[in-house]
This record gives sequence, C-alpha cells and structure tokens, in this order.
Amino acid sequence: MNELTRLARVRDEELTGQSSTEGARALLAAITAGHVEPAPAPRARRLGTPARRLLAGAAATAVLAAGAVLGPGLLSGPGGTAVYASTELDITREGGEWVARVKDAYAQYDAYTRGFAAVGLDVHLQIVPAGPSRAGGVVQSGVESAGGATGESTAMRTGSEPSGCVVGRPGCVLVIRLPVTFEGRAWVKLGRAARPGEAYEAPGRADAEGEPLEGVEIGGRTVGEVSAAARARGLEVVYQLITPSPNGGFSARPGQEASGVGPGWYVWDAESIRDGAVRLLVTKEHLARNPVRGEAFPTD
Amino acid sequence: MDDDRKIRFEAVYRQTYDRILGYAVRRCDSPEDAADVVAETFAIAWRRVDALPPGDEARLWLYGVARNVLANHRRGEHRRHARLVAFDAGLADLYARAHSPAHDPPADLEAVVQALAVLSDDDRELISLVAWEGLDHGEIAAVLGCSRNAVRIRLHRARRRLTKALAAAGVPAGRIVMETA
Repeated sequence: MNELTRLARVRDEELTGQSSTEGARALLAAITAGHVEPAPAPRARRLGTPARRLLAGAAATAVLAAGAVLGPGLLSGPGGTAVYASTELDITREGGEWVARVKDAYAQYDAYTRGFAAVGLDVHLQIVPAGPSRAGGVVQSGVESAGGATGESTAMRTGSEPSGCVVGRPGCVLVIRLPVTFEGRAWVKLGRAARPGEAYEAPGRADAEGEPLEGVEIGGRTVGEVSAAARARGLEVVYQLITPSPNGGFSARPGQEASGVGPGWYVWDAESIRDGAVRLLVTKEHLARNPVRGEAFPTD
Repeated sequence: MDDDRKIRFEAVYRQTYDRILGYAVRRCDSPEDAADVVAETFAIAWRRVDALPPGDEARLWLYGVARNVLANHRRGEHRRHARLVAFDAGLADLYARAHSPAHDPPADLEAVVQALAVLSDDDRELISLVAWEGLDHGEIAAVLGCSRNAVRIRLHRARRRLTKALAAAGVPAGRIVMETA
C-alpha cells in the first residue's frame, strides 16, 4: 500500500454498508422531509452549486432573556422567552420548535422529565457518565410517535452551547430541539464527563483521543502486549470474552469475564470503564477480521 | 411525480452515501464537520435531483458538490447548530474508531504529511482524488468540471511540486505511487 493511501482516516472499503446505518437513514429521511434544506447562496459557484447553508442551522439562537428565575414554573411569554424555567433546565418556544436548554447535566432524571411534561412533552432525558471520548455525545436516542411508529429520531436534534462544548463541564449547556407538533415519546441518553472514580455508563474507546490508551494499537494484538501497555500506563485491566458472529459483529455476555485468559489470547477492542481502568474484549483464537471494528487481519 | 424524484434520490443516496461519507471523513478533522459536509451535499442533491446525472456519474457529480461544500465550510461560510442525533452519533462513532494518521502519523509517514501540508489546496485535492478516491483523469475532469487534458496537466504539476516537497523533507520520490490510469 502506498504512503498517501495510508494517510487516509478511513478507506472506502471500510465504509461498506454505512448507507444502511440508522444515522444514514435518519439523514435521508430528514433531507427528503425538507428538514435539511440548503438555503440560497449569495453567489453562484462552479458546477452550478451555490454555497448554501443548512436551514436547520440557521434557526435563530434566541438567547434566553436573563431574568430572575424563581424556582420551577411556567411563565407565559411571547416566542423566545422561557415558558418553563428551573435551575436544571429552561424550555422556550422558538418558531416551530420547543428548545430545551439543560443547564445542570448532573440533575436527577425526574427534574428533566418534569420540565418537559410541564410544556406537554413526553421526553425522557438521561445524562450518564461517559468515557472521555464520549462525553458530550449522544449514547442512545429514539422517538416513538403517537401512532406507535418508532425510529423517527430525525424529529429531535441535540447540540450544545457554546457550540462544541463538552456537556458536564461548567458553562456548557445541552440543547434539545423538538418540533412543536411532536406528539410522541422521545428518549435520549447523553454522555457527560464523569466525576472522579465514577464508573462510565457509556464506556469510551480506550485508544481514542483523550482516552487512557490513546495512540496504542489494540486490534489483533495479544493480551500480553496490550495489557503490558495498559499496565505501563498505570491502568487496571479487566477482560470480556466475546464471540464473533458468522456474518460480522460479535456477541458478549456481560459478566462473562474470561477466566483463564492467557497472554497469547487476542484483543479486538478496549474500552475505558472508569478513570484508570480499561476492559479488553478478547478471544482465544486469532480472527481474520476484527469482529468489533471490522478491519481485516490477514494471517501471515 | 414527487414520488419519482424521491425514489430516484433514495437510490442515488444508497449507492453513493458510503463514498461521500468517505470523502468527507478523510478531509474533515472532526465528526461534526464531516456530518455537515455530508448532510449539505445530499441536501443540495435533493434540491437539484433533476440535475443529478445517471449511473456512476452521480457519484462524481456529488464529489464535485462535496468539494464546494467543503471549500465553503473552510471559508467559514457555513454554520450549523442543530444536529441530527442518530446521524451525528454514527459519525462520532466512526471517528472514535478511526485512526488519525494525519495528526499522529507513523514515523515513516511524518515527512509525507509535512510535504502534503506545503502544497496548495488545489494540488492536495487533486492528489487526494487519485490516492483516496481512486479516480482516473476522466473522472477527476467530471468532478472538477474541466477537460481531461487540463486534469492531466494540473496533476502533472501537482505531482512535481509534491516530489519537490518530499525531497525537501528527505523522502525519495520513488516511494510515492500515485498515478492511476
């Protein structure tokens, strides 16, 4: 393989099948429903494709008028002012959307549910401790419309303010938007920065940026090699036995800690499970394809 | 009538999504940026579905759109606050799994990263279209909307500048293979 190809973050072959992922389907649905319509551009460009903006992004970020908030309650006001306000979250109506701004990512689950219910929304928000690479990201989400149809997760959008900040860090506000016409049930589980010693409910990718094994090659290496690298960094190591599925992917029975794991077993992925501890996903046999991450390992 | 447009768009989307995703992911440093480029590229395609060429040309046409979207993005002419939850989560996951060779290159590639960094955006894009998307001269011509001959000349010049930059960085040029058809 030549050097330039090796510089690619991903190769097209590794992306086969991405078009059928939930994310790809959500985008397709959003586009054809007109939710991601590009706006007209100031000037024409080559290929006749003007520079455009996403309408979705052009929504005015009406900043909540800072007023004294006297405990949770419904406040009446024209669009753009708070219709629900508490110390944990504010909900406003902006154009055709409900916009919830979560100010306290460490609040009890009930506090959020109450706020949403106050404006007639059935939204279940959980904010869970996550590994460094997943803090601020969506761990799981879904929407169930009034008719019982599920999966229309395009109705709900999340973000943070200031844009790109990590939920759970001081000053970072989580923003959730739903159309005012929304009549179903929505749930979203988000990762936040963990407190010291707190177990991650959403484990991180241990070799991702900011994670304890950042930069360590993991997939296809032996337990001996990876655990030595982990211990050299002062990490506690636990194991999870996984069973590769014939058509790709794998299964793992939680709690099935591989007793008798030897240094000659193989590691396919590593997760950070709390500060200072990683879990290695292992098999006894060497595999031609990484069941967790998909990359091929031709046996030499 | 609208149904026909939708069916046609969905077919193109399914056939080309992986490729456009790859194009964006390889060129964007963050999953958010890549998500914006993919979303806007296909949003433009949906709006201009009647202009979408048939067959594999659709892929090349979309690369051209993605290239413009990316250029606008880099110029800061693009802003997006709202996110599609499942789509963004997929991209974030992809980045979490992917290695980031341009930022943390293996020792033997550091010089190549340096050499590429000194090239102009246009040169780097031409070279990337060959090395990453695997396009030949005719295909690049379709993406850029210029003649095949113009591509040949521009690519020749880009390669010459890359060779020079590599030599300056101490890499023998023979190690870089980048010509296709």
